[in-house]
Amino acid sequence: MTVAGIFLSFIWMCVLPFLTGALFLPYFAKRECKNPLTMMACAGLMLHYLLYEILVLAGMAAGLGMRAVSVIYLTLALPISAAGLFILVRNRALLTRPHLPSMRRNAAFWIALLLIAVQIGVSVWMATPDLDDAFYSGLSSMSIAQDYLLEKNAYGGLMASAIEKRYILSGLPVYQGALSWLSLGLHPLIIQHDLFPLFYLPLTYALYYALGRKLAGEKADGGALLLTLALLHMFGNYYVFSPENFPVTRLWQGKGLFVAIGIPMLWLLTLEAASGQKDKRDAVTGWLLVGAALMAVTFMGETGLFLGPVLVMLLTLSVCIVDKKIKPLPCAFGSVLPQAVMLLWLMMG
Amino acid sequence: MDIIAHFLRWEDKYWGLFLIGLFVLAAFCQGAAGDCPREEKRRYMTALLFGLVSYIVLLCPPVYDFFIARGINDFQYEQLFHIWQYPLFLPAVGALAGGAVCRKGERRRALAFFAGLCLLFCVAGDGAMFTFSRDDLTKELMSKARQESYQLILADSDVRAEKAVIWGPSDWMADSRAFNGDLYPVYGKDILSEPAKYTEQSRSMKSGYDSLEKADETVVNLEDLTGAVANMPNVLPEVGCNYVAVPAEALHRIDTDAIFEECGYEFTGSADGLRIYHRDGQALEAGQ
Repeated sequence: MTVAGIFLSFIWMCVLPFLTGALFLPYFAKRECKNPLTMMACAGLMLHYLLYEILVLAGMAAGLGMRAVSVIYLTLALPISAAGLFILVRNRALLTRPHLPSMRRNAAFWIALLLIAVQIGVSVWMATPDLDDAFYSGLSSMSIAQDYLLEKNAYGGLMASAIEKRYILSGLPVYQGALSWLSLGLHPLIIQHDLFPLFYLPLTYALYYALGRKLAGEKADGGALLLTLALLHMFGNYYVFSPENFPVTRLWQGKGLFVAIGIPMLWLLTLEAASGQKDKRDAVTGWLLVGAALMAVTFMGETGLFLGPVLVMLLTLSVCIVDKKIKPLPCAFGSVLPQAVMLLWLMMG
Repeated sequence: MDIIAHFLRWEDKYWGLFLIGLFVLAAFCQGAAGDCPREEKRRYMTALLFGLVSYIVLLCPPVYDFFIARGINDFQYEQLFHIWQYPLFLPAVGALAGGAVCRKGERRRALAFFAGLCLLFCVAGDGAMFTFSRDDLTKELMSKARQESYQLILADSDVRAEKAVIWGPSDWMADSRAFNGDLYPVYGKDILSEPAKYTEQSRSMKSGYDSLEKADETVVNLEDLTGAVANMPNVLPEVGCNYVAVPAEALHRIDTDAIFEECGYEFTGSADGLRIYHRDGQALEAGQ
């Protein structure tokens, strides 16, 4: 039963998002993206988070429970993924084989992979107790037991007090509860503590690697960069809220996921969208992806809601100043508009 | 709070590293002015400008005031800096530095630079993975004993068709939420951070129970504990606390069986080093 649950979780957490991301394979291939598989996986994951976020918000307004929202989510996600599979098969020639350096040429790359495997093993096999689990995992368990969305505060006694407004916009704990329900009742703690690191730590490093290569250029030593990152995450425990230990110690929590996947994804998509878009259709696709990623980081947590738009706007402004053009700025503003509205609603009390 | 004073407090943490990163980028931009390919120079400038602009914007008092006035506290504002500035900027600087050095054909210098960073992390860092994880290399999301204590209560409440409202050690109650959403702790983790949200009786219950949890305490706050237990039907008029979990070792100091039996509780079972007592939930609702 556990094995079947893990297999189903793999489908919901990895296969469906990857196939959804394949819808953008022509876009990433046209952009001469060196890591189309990474970008596809992340774009698909962001779209799934966007979909679930919209459904949670709509479900709360309509008085639906977690199970109803999850059924609607699957009903929409499956055909979208099927469409992605069709695009993937049709454009399979665009997929580039990942170039792995030989051990002799770049030992740092392979040492980094080994260290990353160690991190995944430690994350999966060793418990990482955190008092915030009472909140995040508690919300997931509550949504399963009581079949409701973000209603009650998991910090409060008797779980009778209403959840704080700032948490209403982040459906990640409910999504994790839904994964449990959709995976034959696999306990949400296993999904959060084991499967999230198992499936998403490799994606985290792939994203940072892709971003490092984009910033440093093709001649940069990607292996050395990967090794530095791996060691930073293993040893950089400077401060309990420091981002260098979030991916390893609490990837399943909102801000951990935002740091691990959200931030590099926003950087990559914003840099792609803001620079050198000659085709109007590609420009629209690029900024729509940025908008989707912004909603996805809001889904992860309120940290994403605050920082995502600021990051996108400042990065776009920097690109505009360097390239001496103004066109990307209104596009960036359009992409952050939904977050700006949500932020205003939140801050108005 | 004065943003400048706050800035000075930040400088002893990541900002020092962030400023070093900015300096390195600026140095590369200066060095790359002549023979650098346009695209490479563009990347340096974008990263440097992003660092500078974001630094200035977030340090700007009106921006700080805007967020503080709308419910973001100092601690949260500080977290925003750490969370978003550091994880990308320093590796980005490292990547750019490495790229620039490699481009000039000085791959060995780049490797030396990264090797130095790696050594620095290993020597000066702190093993985050091992600090935050348990000592034994066994999968222990929640001990079997802990699970047994929850399962005992859930099975018992299921048989009795009662809602399981529990009172016990703080971490035990906190874990219960993660384990199963059908367990209702009588007060939450926030009783310490936001005591005003709770009644005097709830705070008394917390105080009474804390004395039980302190193994080396010779004098148990018995008055608070017995008073709190006797007060429970008054504390929670809509639902009573029908399950109480007490550390078994407390029996060495006070007769918890007698205390809880006097209040109408009966011993139900033991698990996870706890003695679990139950009182009829329906009777509690009726105020009996």
